[in-house]
Amino acid sequence: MIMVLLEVKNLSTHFFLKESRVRAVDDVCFTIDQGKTLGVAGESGCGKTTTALSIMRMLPPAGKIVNGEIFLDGVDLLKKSKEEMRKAKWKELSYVFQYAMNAFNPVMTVGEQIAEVIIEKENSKSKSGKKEAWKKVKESFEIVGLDPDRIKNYPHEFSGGMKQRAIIAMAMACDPKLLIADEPVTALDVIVEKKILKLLNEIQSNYNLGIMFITHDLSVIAESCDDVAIMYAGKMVEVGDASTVFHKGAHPYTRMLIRSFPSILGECKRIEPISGIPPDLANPPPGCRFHPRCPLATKECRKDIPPFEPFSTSRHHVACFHAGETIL
Amino acid sequence: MDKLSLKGYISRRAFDSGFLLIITVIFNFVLFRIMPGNPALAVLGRTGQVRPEFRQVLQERYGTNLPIFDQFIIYIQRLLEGDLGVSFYYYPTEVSELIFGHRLLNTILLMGISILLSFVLAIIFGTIAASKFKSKTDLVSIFVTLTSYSTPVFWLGMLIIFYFFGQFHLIPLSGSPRIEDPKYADIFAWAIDYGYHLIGPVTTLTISFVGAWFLIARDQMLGIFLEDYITTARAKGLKERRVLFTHARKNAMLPMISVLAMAMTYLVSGATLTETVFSWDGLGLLTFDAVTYSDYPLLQGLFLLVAAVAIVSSFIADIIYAYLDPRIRY
Repeated sequence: MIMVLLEVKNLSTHFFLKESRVRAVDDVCFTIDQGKTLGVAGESGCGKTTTALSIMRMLPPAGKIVNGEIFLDGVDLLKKSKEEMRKAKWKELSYVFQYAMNAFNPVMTVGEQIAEVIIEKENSKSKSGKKEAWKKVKESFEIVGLDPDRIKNYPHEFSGGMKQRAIIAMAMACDPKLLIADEPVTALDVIVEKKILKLLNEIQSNYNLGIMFITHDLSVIAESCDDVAIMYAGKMVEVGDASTVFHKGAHPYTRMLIRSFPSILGECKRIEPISGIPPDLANPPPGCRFHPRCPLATKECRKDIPPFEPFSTSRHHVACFHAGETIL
Repeated sequence: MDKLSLKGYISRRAFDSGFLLIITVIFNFVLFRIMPGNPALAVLGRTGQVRPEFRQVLQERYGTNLPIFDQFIIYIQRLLEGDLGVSFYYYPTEVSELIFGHRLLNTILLMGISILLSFVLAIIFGTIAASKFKSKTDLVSIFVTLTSYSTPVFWLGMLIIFYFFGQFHLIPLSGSPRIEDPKYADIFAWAIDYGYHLIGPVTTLTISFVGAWFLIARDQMLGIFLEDYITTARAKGLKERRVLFTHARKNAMLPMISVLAMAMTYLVSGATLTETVFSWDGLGLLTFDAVTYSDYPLLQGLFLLVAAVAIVSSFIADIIYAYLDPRIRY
């Protein structure tokens, strides 16, 4: 029996600017199962990071969650008080940020920064508690393949790949149930990227960890994710298990996105970019937000917002009136 | 390995500072030799007649009749003995006696209190204003501090005297009580009166220092708040206090250390304008007199003291830097 770890229901996050309201995330639904990885993909600015920050409740001041529920292990995170949320952070869910290079404070040792969060979350300010925390830091270094003798090093003494490993060690320090990884490998070269992805997969199977993996690189998703969610302009357009989405993708955007990536093993053909640009989210087009760029768009698409409905299987959801139709 | 490189860093800095000090000593000698005229003539010319005993002392002390290189050797020898020469204006008082007496104490107390007060206030207000970026509090405090920063300090001092002495009778007019004064029964009576006299000049200097430092502190904090590691620290669900005072403060302190190190020279150079307005008998006022009366030996002594303090304080700042920021190992 697969247990649902994270359930996001009808999440809408808007940014309230001086004269406009940017609908960065609009009516988004998805789930992550225990011990599974959901890859979230989409163009820059489609709301991937905003969705993740909404789950962490770490939006910038202008951003407000206007609607929705976020259940982590059956508890609605949005109903928690600020203080409860602060306590839940890192213990229940942790976050690996985009910027691996600057995520550590340059004037504190890496070990110190991992130990402080263990001490805070385990509430072990006693001497033995601190000793225990440092022991855990060493263990976490071993888990991610770093030399435990280097816990007293400063961040600038680590290479990029080592920093990323240390960040994962820090994210795992308090045994969270969910890890949100926001472009964790974007800044790394492909060899280190591969190692980090392997490490994440190992940790996941050992600790039954749910991962929300944000990236714009479809090949990374194909390699490491169980499920895939495709976002476009603040909307979820297609969610399903990886092979279904990659091989039987039903939303025209999904299929065009896949076609716009080069394939190393497939036949040699010209990649096809998606023409046009994503819409201005302060003033999104009526109906389906993809219709101005969609070859299948009809009158209906311009008028009504397509519902996000099960398509081929109960786990495969698509928001399109023309799901599965052939693109010429 | 890290400890070793820190040691290397400190010894390199110490060497640099020593070298700089030697340069300063040489410069301090040369500066007054290349000035138009010569010290003896300046004194003799001022008095209009040659006083034989004066010329004798001058020649003995400075060897003004000797070649410049010999003069330099004598200057260095005397300096190593701690002898700064005799003041022209306060003849026959020794320069060292003039500087290292009650005047130094007066200036250190006045400047020390003002600097410390402004520094603490600037950091507190700077942090508050930065955490309330663009709020009313922020904008009002910027307006107030910019105004205080751009107000001429002597005018500010005069205003304070006019209102707080003249109108409200809250502070004494001016002066700096001396402990030797027989009117004080004991040291406490003197200390109370001294503190009372300090209020005016300290207020003036604090208002003028706080402005610039507030802006630096605020700016620094604002920059730090945007850093990724602060976001990480918040994501970790640390207490906001720990985010601010452990993660942000150590980084924000770095430029403030430079500010403080530069302010250390004020500690001995004093604030000439403020000391003049309040007739505060400190080194600032002494410098003013020394310039007015072309008292070269005295000026030379004062310059050397200020330069030495500047060098030593920037050396200390460098060590504090290395301690605060592990990346700094030149």
